Amino acid sequence: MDCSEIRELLDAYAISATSRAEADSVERHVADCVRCWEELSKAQRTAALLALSVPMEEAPPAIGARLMAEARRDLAGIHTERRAPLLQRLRFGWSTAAAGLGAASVAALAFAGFLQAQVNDLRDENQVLQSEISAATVSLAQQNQALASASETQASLIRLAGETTSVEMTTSPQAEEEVSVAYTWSTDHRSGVVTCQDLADPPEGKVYQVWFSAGGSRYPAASFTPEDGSCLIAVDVPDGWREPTGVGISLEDPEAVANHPQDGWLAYAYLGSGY
Amino acid sequence: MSRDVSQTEGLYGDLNDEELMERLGYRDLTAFRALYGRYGNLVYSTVYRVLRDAHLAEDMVQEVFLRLWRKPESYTPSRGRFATWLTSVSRNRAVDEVRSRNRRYRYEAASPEEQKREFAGPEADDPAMTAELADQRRLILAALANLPEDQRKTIELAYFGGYTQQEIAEILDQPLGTVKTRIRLGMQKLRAALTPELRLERG
Repeated sequence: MDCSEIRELLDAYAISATSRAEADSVERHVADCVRCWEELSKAQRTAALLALSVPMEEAPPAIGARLMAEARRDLAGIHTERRAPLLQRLRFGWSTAAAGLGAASVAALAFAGFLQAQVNDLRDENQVLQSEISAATVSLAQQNQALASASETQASLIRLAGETTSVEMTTSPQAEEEVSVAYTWSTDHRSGVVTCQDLADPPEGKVYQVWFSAGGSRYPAASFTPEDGSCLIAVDVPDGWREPTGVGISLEDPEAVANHPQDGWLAYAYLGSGY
Repeated sequence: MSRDVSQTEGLYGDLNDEELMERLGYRDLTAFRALYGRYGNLVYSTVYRVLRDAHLAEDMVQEVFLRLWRKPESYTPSRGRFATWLTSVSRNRAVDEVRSRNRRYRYEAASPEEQKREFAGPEADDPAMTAELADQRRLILAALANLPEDQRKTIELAYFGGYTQQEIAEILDQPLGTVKTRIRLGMQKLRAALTPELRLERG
């Protein structure tokens, strides 16, 4: 078709009244013809305005509620991804869950915090999500019973169930290749948890020591021995102490009093200086 | 987490559509809420006009807005003004749906009342609509009202009914050439009448 034949079709094409064959001809033609393409744009802009001419109806209110719930779920999906690493780590680490802590209660406490965040997210969309909220609230109430008996150390794990940041520590060449050690900390930088996988048992007479670095000096945060290669160690930055710029792990003699790693770092992560 | 909805809408009420869309790019739920507040009724009315079924219309509104939320980059100001783009996209989606379902409302079955009222009367406005948009709407309705009845009806059957020229010729029992002429003349008159509006539509 030539330009004049195509022009005859443009208005009908703009309101989708052409046959499929005619539409194909128009599309093929305007792909190569700027002048007809411009004419088509004008016809399409006119057609687009027609949509504004409809009699106004009121949208059922349920649509808005459903949409917001759906959008909120999308956002929750993003947040869940952000939280996931910690929860995954809890899953492998919770069996050791630091000496003296009931493993199940640690997992429960972290989960309680997670649920709390979920409940907060959901509360907004009461209309559609009411049933989900009540289900989550029941679980939360159960988790809160476990929470009631939490010790102060356990409390740091609860804080970590919300927004956290994770960093994988760099391991030294002397560590086993598959070793993975990570530090996850809360947004206020005052509590964190060290998690590890495939960490070898310490040599006889030694323990692993977690250190924070701050302002050029180090201070010991916790010592531990892994169980089946895993660990989950809650560490708190004591009140009045500077926020750490790094966190590391070394092997130490538990009897010796040291103020810095004796044999260098086994794993270390720089946490940034912007605290 | 709880929000005072009226307060946030007040804050976002000062933002124009393009600014709200930009915020959607940052996953701003309040901006999304504000856009829905502004255009929910208009989009619903548009797709309802085509689908003629409240349930289908609800689903489609949801689809249109979720797509907006998930792919805000699908709108760029070069596509014209946001409100026009959104309603036009909604209409196109609804027409696709009607065609794929082959669920067109039968023109003959529409009541005489409905047949008369294919386009809106000037009295019907949405309070959520900005004054600017309401003005634009009035101009379009006036331009349509000035078209000869047969041209208006033919355009309406194509645009909202989702019928092709061939189908319209059958429905109206008119020669195909007549239908084509009505569409061309009608659209050209509309374009002439709406020239100032069309300038605003340029990105």
